[in-house]
Amino acid sequence: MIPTIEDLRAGRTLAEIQGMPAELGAAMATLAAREADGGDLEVAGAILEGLVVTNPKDALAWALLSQVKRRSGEPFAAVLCAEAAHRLAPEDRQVLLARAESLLAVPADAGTGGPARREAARAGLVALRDGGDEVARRAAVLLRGLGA
Amino acid sequence: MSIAQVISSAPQLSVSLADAEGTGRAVASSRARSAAPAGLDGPSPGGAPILPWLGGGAAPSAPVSWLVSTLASKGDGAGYAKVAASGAAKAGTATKAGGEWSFLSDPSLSIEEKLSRFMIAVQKKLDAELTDKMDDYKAKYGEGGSETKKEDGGFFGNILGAIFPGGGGIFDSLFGGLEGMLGDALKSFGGPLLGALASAVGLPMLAPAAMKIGESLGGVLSGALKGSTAKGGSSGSTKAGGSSGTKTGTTSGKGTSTAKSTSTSTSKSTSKSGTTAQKGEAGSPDERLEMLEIQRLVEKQNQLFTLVSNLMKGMHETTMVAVQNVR
Repeated sequence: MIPTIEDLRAGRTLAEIQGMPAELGAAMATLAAREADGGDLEVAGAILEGLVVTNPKDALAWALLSQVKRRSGEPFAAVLCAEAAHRLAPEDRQVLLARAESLLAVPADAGTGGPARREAARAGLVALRDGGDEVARRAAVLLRGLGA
Repeated sequence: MSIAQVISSAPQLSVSLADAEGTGRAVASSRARSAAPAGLDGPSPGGAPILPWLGGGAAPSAPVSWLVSTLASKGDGAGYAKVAASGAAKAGTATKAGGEWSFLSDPSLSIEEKLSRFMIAVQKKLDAELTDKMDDYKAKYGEGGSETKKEDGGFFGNILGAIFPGGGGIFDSLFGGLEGMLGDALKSFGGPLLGALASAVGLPMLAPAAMKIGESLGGVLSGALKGSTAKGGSSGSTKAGGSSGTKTGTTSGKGTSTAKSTSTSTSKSTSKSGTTAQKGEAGSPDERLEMLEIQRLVEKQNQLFTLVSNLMKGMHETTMVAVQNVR
């Protein structure tokens, strides 16, 4: 079934219209993560782009896409994806991590906001440092790299 | 600065390597990567990665995945279809028509009569809808309409404002001078992904237009970015006019544009998009969307006529067959 303009305007996602459950979305995200982890960023990016088009409200898919874009050499696309994820799930630790990473991925000498980006990323990582999970570990490692 | 320049300068990040653990193991990454990593985990001119752990190349003590965990996420499943509860009773559809539709249940009317009344009722509804749409259009794009006074980049300014809420101040502090590059990044998204982005940042009403615009987005967006950032901060206007304009031109080409063509083409595109936004010309995405809606309504009316006409014709032919058989 193809979404109508009314569907799009009303914020109904393709996943809702086509009856795609959250489990299938999670499975696709996992598949994309496996592909990305295995080094096939192109396939991972294609899966994730399809996933966010199917359900633009999936914050995790946006966060994953941000990381894949960053790894693919598209730091600005990574920033946009991370911001989208952050708008959807502002409290999610993984999203916050992806957002901080996307800010750090923009070269420091690009534009006038290098120090501000670094500081914003550092602040975000400091907030994630405690928690004892994978996100906390990664945040701690990044903070050490930043000299914090 | 072009994207290529930015990426090539990525390794020059001033991150202290001395503070980082496991620097010696950083080069030991043997994982094959299909694309050249950029930014923090990219290789430095000397060969050693700047922040190798950001790319998952080498961890200080234990392997840390560079990806977010899909298993750890406990999303609420927003945007996905809800699994229907078993035994959920569906509301009955055979409700009796009332009001203006009461003729449908009138046994004294023939089917032809019902069809013609149905057509009149639907036509009336579609006419009202069409008139409303045209009134909307007039209010927005007619003389002195609300959209004719826009100076914030309109459609694209809305998307950018939604992606970076809080006005030009925050945007400028983090991404000052990078408007063109963000515009190019959005251009690389293409139609469907841009539509998804618009939906994600809370502007689903812009998704159809975003999907339609697709490729032509980049140039217009750069102008919109400048408009929106200039509106937010006092320092924005100088930046937008100068440095960011130059960047737009250099990054859009793939290493072929020259400095001369850059400045001219950028200034042209900026003034063009600015004019479009101010005047609300027929080319503006919002306006095109409105026209599309009106077109859709007219097509809907045509479809209704065709449907009823075909039905009538079919019924007439069926009757004629019976009459001819009697003869």
